[in-house]
Order: sequence, then C-alpha cells, then structure tokens
Amino acid sequence: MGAPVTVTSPDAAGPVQEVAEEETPAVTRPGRFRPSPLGWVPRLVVWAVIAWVVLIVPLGHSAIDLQDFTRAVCYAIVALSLNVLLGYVGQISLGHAAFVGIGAFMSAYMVTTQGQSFWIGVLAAGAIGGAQALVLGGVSLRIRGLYFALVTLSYGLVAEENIFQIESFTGGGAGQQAPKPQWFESEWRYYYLCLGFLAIVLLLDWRLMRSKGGRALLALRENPRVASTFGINVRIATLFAFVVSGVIAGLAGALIAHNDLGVSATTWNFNLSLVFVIMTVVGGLRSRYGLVIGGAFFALMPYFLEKIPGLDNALAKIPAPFDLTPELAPLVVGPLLLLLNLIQFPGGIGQQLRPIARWLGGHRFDLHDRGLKEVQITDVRA
Amino acid sequence: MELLRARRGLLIGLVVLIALVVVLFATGEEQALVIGTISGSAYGLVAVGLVLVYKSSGVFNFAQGEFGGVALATLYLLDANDVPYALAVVGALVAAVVAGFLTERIVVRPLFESPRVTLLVATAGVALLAIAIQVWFFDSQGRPIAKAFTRTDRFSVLDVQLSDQRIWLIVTLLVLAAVLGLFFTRTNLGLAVIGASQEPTATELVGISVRRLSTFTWSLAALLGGLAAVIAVPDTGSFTPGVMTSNYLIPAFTAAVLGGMTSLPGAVVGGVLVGIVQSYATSASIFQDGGALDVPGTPGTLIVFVVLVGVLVVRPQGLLGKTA
Amino acid sequence: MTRRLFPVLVAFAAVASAASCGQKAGVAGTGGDGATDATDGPTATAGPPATAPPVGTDTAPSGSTGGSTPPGSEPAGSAPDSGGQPGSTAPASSAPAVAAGPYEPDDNDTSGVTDEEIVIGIHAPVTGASPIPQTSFDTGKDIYWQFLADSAPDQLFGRTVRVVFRDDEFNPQRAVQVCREMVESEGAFVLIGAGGADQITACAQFAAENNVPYLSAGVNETGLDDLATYFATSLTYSEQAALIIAQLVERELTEVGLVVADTPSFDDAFDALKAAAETEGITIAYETRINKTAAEAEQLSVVQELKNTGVQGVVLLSSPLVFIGLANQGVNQGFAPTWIGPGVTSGLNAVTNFGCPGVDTGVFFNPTPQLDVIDDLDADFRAAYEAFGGGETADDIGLGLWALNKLLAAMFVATGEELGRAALMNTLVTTASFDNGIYSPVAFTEDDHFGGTGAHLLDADCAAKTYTTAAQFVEVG
Repeated sequence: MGAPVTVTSPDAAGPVQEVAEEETPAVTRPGRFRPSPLGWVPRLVVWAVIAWVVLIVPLGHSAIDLQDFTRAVCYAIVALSLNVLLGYVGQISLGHAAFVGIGAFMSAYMVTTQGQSFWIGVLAAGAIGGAQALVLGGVSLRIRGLYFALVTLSYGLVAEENIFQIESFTGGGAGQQAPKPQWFESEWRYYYLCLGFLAIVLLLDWRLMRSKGGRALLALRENPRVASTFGINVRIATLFAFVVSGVIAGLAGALIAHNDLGVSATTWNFNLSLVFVIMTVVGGLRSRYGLVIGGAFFALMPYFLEKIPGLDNALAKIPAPFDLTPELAPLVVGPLLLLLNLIQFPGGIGQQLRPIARWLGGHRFDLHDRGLKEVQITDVRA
Repeated sequence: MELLRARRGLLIGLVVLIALVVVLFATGEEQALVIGTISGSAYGLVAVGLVLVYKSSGVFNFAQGEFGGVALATLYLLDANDVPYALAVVGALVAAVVAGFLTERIVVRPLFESPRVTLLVATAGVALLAIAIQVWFFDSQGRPIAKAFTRTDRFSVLDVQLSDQRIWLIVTLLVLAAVLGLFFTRTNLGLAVIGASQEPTATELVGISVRRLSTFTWSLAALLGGLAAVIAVPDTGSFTPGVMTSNYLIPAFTAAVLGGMTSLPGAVVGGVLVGIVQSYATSASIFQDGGALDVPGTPGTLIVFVVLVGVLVVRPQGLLGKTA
Repeated sequence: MTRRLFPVLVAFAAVASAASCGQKAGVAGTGGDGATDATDGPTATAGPPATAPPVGTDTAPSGSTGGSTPPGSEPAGSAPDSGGQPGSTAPASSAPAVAAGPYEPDDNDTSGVTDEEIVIGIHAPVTGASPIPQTSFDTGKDIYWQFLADSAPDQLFGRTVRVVFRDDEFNPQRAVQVCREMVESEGAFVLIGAGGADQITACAQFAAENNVPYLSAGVNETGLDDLATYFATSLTYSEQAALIIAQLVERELTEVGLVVADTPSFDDAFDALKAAAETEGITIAYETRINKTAAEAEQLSVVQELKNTGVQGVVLLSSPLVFIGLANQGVNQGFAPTWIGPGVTSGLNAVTNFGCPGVDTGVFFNPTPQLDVIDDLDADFRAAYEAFGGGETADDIGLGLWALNKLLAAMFVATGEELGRAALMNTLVTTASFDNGIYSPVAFTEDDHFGGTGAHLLDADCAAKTYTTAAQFVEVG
C-alpha cells in the first residue's frame, strides 16, 4: 500500500483520495484508491458489527430460532448454487428443489439407513447432487433457454412425485430421520458449522470465478456464439456449471436435512423451486453478498414477521375473508418483491447495496456505483 | 416427395398416433384413448393460450394457468351469490381478461426489451401472486364449482361415458383452434400480431401499434386460459387455489412443445397426445406396483417428462412447428 | 476481493475456536423451562387420595342439564360402562398414587403444568394439500375448557387449560417443527395431532424421543406401534378393516374395489383390508394405490378401471379431496358405487358441503357421531357453543374437538392433582377404560396403545349436505 500523501477529512464517507504519483515502483496501479489507515477504521467497525450480528446475536435466541437462522444460512448456500446457473451461465433452473431435496434425502439415507457419519452423508449429498445434474444436463445438452427451464421444471415434478417416493431411499410417509452430527448436536454449534460451510462455498465460488473456467462461463453468458468462437465449448461449459450448481445444492440439502432432523418428500415442491429462484433474483445475480442476504431474507421472513410487534394485532383487525395471517404474508410478499425487482431493480439487493459493499472492500464510497449494467440474463430465443 | 418433406412433422404425428392406437388396443387399454382425449382437451386448451403468447411475444407464459384460476375464483364467488350461471361464467371470463390485461400492462410492458427468461420468471411471479391471493381469500380449502351441463349419459365411446360438460370442452377446443388458426393466417389483425412479434420496428413503421397488439394478445390468451378452467375444472366438482398450475400447466407446456410452440393445431394435437400417453401410463398395469416397469409414485408425471425431453432432443420444433 | 472475505474468516475462526472450547453442548437456550419446574421432586406424586373423589364429586358440581351422560362424570373407567376393572380405583388407593406404572418422571415431567394452568398443544393441517377449515378449529378448540371452567372449576384442581394450536402445513417435517415449538416455546404438557397420518407419525416420533405424551385419533400403526408415549384414542385404520368388511357383508357387496393412498404409512391398513376381505369371502376385483394428491387425469383412469370391473362398492382410504374427486368423476362416468372406508376427515361435513352430488353414496366410520345425534349423547355440547362460541354455530369439527377435550379432561382428572407426564401416562395404561359418552370407550394397556374399541358409521346425505349417523358405537367383534 503506497503511502498516502494527504488526508484532508477522514470522515465516515472515506478519505479523499490521493494518489502518490511519485511513489516507489508500483505495486500500486495508477488510479487505484486505497484508504488511509484512518479510513480503515470506520470500515472495520462496520465489519465488526456485521460479524457480531452474524456470529454472536443468534446465540441469545432459543433453539428453535437458531434452527431458523441455520435455515437462512442454508438458503444462502442454495442461492449461491442457483446463481452459478442463473447468474454465471444464464440458464434457469425451475426445479432446483429437486437438487436440494435429493441431497437432503441422500444424507439422511446415509446416516440413518447406512449408518455412516454426517460427513460421509454430506459428501454423498454433494456427489449425488452433482451426479443428478450431470445426468439431467447431459440429456439436455442441446436444450437451452426457455426450453431448458421447462425441462428443469418437469424434472422437479418427477423428483417430487417419483424419485422421492422410492421407499427404500426416502423412508416412510413420515420421512427419513436425519440426526445432527457428533460434536455439533446443539443448535448453535450446528449453526456455526453451517456458517463454516457457507464460508467455504463463498470461497470456492470466488476462486471459481477468478479462474479461467469462471471467465469462460461469464463469456458464455454474454454471448454463447461469440464465446464458442473463442474456443469455449458451450455445452461442456454449461454442463460444468450445472454440475457445480448441483453439488452445492446437494450440500445445502444435506445441511437442511440435519437441521430439520428429518426429510420428507412434500417439502420439495414446485413452490419451493420458485421461492429459490425468487430469492436468487431478488438477492441479486452475481453479487455474493446480495445472494446471501436474499437467501437469508426469504428464509427468515416468517421469523421477522412474527417479531414485528403489533403486526399480529394489526393483521387480525383486517376483516374476514381478508384476514391475513403471518404465515400467509410471505406468500404474498415474495412474488411482489420479485416483480418489483425485475421491473425496477434488476440487480436486486446486491445492486442496491453495492456502494456499501465496495466501500467495505476498501474503495471509495460512491452512491452512484451501481455496477456495470450487465445484469441481464442471457437473451436466448429458442 | 417435396410435399412429404414439407409435411414431415404431420407425417410423424400421424405415425405416432397410429402406433399409439395400435399399442393401446393391443394391451387392452383402448379406453385410455377416450380418457386421454378428455384430460388432453383441457391441456390443449391451455396449450393454445401458451402458443398464442409465444407466437406473439416469444414468452413462455407461466401465468396462463392462473388466468384460469382467477376465472374459477370469480365463478365460484358469483355462483355462491346466486348470480345465474351463464352470467357467472361471463363474469369469470371478464375477470380472467382483466387479469391478463393487468399482467401485460404492469409486468410485460416494462420488460418488453428484456430477455425472454426474465419474462418467464416474471410470469412465474405473477402466477405465484395469484395463487397467494386466492389462498388469502379462500384459505387452502377447496371450494365447490357447479357444472354448466349436468347430463352425463348422452354419449358413450368405448364404454367410457362422455358427459355433456366434456363434450362442450372438446368442441370448444376444436372450434377455438380452428378460429385462431384462421385468425392468424387470414385476418389483418392476426397477421399484424405475427408481424409484430417478428419485426416490431417494421410493424411500428407501418403504423400498427405494437403495444396495443401486445395488450390484445395477452387479453386473448387470458380469455383462453379462463375458458379452459371454467369448462374443465367444474367437471371435477371442486377447485383449490393453484389447481390450474399444479395439474394443468406442465402437461400443457409439454403439449405445446410436442405440437410445436408456434403451431396452434399442434397445441391441440399435442394436448390430446399427452393426455392419452398420461392416461395409459396411469392405468397400464405394467407401470403399477409389481409390474415390469414399476414406477414409484405417479407414472403419469414421469411419462410427461420423458415425452418433453424426448421431443426436445429428437425434434425440437415439435410435430407441427417451424424450425427454430 | 480477499480483503472482503478475510476479516470474516478471521472473525469466524476466532469465535468458533473460542466457542467450541469452553461450552457444553446444549447450553445456549435449548428451551430450558423444564429443569426448574421439578420443585416437587420427581417421584413425589404422593397423590392425595383426593383423586378418588372425581368419580363421586363430579356429578354434583357439573350440574348436568338433564343429559344422559353428564360430562366428566365418568373419568376413570367408572363401573357402569366398562364392567369389573381392577385398576380403575388405583389412583385412589396406593400412597405413591399415580406413580404406579411403567413410566418414570424425568426432568421435564411437569413442564406445561402449573398450579393455574395446563397447556395443550394441537397441530393440524390448515394449509397444504388436505386442509381443515381454520375458523372452526379456532373456535372449537377452547369451548370444552371454557365450559368446564364455568361449570366445574375445581374439576382440574383449580387449573384451567390453555390450548395452543399450530398449522403443520400437511408436511411431516413442519409438524415436527411446530411440535417442538409448542413444547419448547409454549410449554405444552401434552401434544395432540388432529389429522394427517404422516404428520401424526412424525410428531409422535418426536414426542416419544422427548418423553412427551402424544395423543391422536387412530390412523396407521406402522411407525407408531413401538412408541412409548403415543396413544391412539380411536380405532386405527387396520382395526377398522374388520368393521368395514362386516359392512360390506351386510350390504351384500361381495365384489369391491380397493383404493388406498400411496404412502408407506398406509401399508398396514392396505394389508389388513385385503386380509379381512379374504377371510370373509369378499372379492377385490380391482386394487390400486392412488397418489396422495391425485390429479384429474389419474382420478379419471382409476374410476374408469373401477367401472370396468362393475363393482358396486369401493373401499377407500385417502384424503377427503381425493375422495371428492373420485366420487365426482364417478358421477361423470355413470359410476356411483358405495364408497366406504375408515375416516377421520372423510366424514366431515366439509366433504358433503362441496363434494355433493358425487359423495352421496359415501359411508365412513368415524370416532365421533354426527351432529344429528349429539343431543342425545351430550346435551352440553350445543349449550356450550351458545354460551362460549361467540356466535359461531356448532359444527362437526367442533364436535370432534369437544369429544377429544372431554376425554383429555377425564384423563387429567383420573391422574389426580399431582399431574405430570409420567403420572398421566401411568394412569392411561393402568385405567381400564375412559368413556366420554361420545367416543366408544377408550382402553389402553401397557403393550397396546391403540385404545379404540369402536366407531360410528356416518352416511352422506346430499339432500341435506351433511353426514348423518347410520350406526353408533359399532364395536370391534
């Protein structure tokens, strides 16, 4: 970090940039902003607050609330998984509940029926998520865009009504049990475990997109035809992304299964697939923090609604038949948010929070930094 | 020979149909033909709406089912308040058209230039919202829906009774498909719709408002969705919120793809074919517990999926569609 | 980019290592309300012999309004209707009164019971694939307790009962969650499942793992028969098989179809029905396992297959929605057999409300009779609704809840003043039977927690759009 020349007003908005042109050879790229040490202070404070909210605050809650928080973490992982397909490659999966669900069942099956440890279960869950994606993707290699969406949707139904009805795999009508792993039996420990997994997934996602493969995916999204002229095999790249997405989804499924202490088939329905898509889009494609927030938000919506003081009473005052229960509200709010997002704010929460995120990352705070206007999903006419 | 090549899709369709009939009679499941036609007509009617929207805006309209759902809810409300049935049906259709109109204005217009996948997700959001509102007003309970025609024993084909309501469904489907087909090929308005979807700029230059056409198309599609729901669902006696989307939408999409997303008669044919195949899968003992191809859960769902993927892999333009 | 992740990772690592070092599992907020309640000491159910009075003193305060069976007057298997039982006065006799039995109290034994109130948790599907009307539920769940508090406030030794209700969304995993919430957050003493076999099974398993008594109407037996804390208050589907087949014989339906929902929970019922049919010489001309939420296409096919066989009766075990769909498709195709089966929810008036005309030929067994005969069995029911129902009319869901609550009250009374989970369950297995006048008598033993002994037969009447009671207290042979 080059030594800054002047610091004029170290306020919360970040110090004024000064580039040291006459600086020693350059590790510094010309024009690259670096906050002063004093400028780092407010940033670190905010980081600390975030860490406190994520790591410490949940501890004060009951075990049941902790289960909700863990679910939020798992949904964040699902959002990241769906983003690989939707955000990086531009293909949409409307049956993602199947991928998460099969991971859930696999882990439960491994632990309960096969007597394996949790870690084997998680591995198996990721593996089968990837395998499922490989098979489905392999079959639909040539199918893109809208038709691919249809295929995934139909597949989601098959999973719900056929695959998850295989009794030896999925257990009886009451579902398959999935106890928590050793050393992580209490809810708060399991919460930290899931946070750890989320961190790993975030790391992997970041590394992936930094790599050549990741760039290929992005190029693919921009324009498949141009990408192929650069030697990128469109189909293999798409398949690769699909498999990565499937593996992460399977992992998330395993975590959800053990969080709920069981899995049953009715959870993984079309409605859930749509919720996954909504939370990914509302979170903001290709924006990691946006996705995490989006996933967590949708998972925690019922929780938040319950905690708003007086909401219950206010809702009870609405006369029948218009009475709106707190359970129902997320059903209505979700699609509204989606529509609002698509029409007005295509970048989702991630885009809205981008100035803050950039600032936290050590850049200048710029209210108008909305990222490149590249949040369109690939235009594919089938 | 040239004619054969041009009409290849039709030929394949005929071959498939004949093969299907032969297999069904051979396995003693010929009633699946009739039952399949009944459920398939409902799928076909929804599929026609899907094809309409796709032909004109290139969008897969996920809310097509719920346009029907809105109609059903309105029909129930009006009927429960002692409005004469015929009037209630009209009211229901009006409600569906309004839903389509609103969807077009609020959701589709702003996203006119957006990628089609975005619009797909948006219409899915509309569908979810519609279901949520129905659950809000009606809770998840089913509600009874009366039929228009109650007589059931007028016709019988292959020992399967066809109630009047079902005859109405099939007739409506055929008439609509024919009318719409003529509309798109013979009338100015229909040609304008097609033109607008392919060359919006040119259409505007010629003085036709693309936006007006879009509104018209979506309203028409909503009307079709409403018709499908109002005729087909009362046959089951009751409806629950979201029934159109969960029971009819995927088979309808499969039907549309099978028939070719750009072909209206294709949608009809596709619907019937999907219905027959699904019915066969459900009743054939080979798929039941203990049969040779024992499928866990509902065989019909798996069959529909296989058909969808099969068509897309083997012949993406479907039976009667034009090459993409 | 590393800059963004790095602080997070460091913070996480720091906190995680600190956290995992010093803490014991289960410290942070795992519903710690139970441990502090055991002030009486675990085995101090030195029940005051005041538990004997329930049999005697009730007839006075309850001031039965002329009904033949005053509510709550026959809690602990009184002599009249369950003849000669040694165990029935057990609560009164021995000094460590109700502790006599196989259940030992644990740390949470009196969780949910205070000197002022008892908390009951009920879960049922209000949303999801097979919903029950919520408003009926909200009104009906409290009425009996309000009535009891009003007419016999000392019945439960000065305690009132608070009912907590949760929607399980027809999803077994959600059922486990809400059951857990009810136990840990709301402090429920016992859990009750109001409907939905899979949800009941899931929640019952959770309850058994946590030593919480769990009651429900009889549903399946698989998955429930080895649970120590599960008690079925009416005949299970398998137990009803014999009754159903007997009805078929009586109606001279020698060839029938058999349609059972395709969930593993119903496997034992499916087998029991087939076995019973074979014993009695009933031929099953067509059998199928139908999807739990069968769509129109499947319903059409099944009905057509049934029609092809020409059967006059169909034994049906499925959700009410599937029943309505099948029945109506049947009408469409000119096929109107007698639909007969076990039921808890199929015999509700909600079904006739919107299933007619198809369901007119439906005949179902039910733990409770219908509203047409309730005045003869318990005159307090309607009166209580008028007094406490807030203007709602008494309906059959309310009746079901009334009967259930009445039974519970009898069980509480029989257990005595020192009410704890172990004490309650001991009472259940040592008392000969419980009779609330509406259910057939309910009798548990240590090995058999399926307490039903009979059921009522309900007949659909589309003219009145309700079910009527065709036969009462049909006992298992």
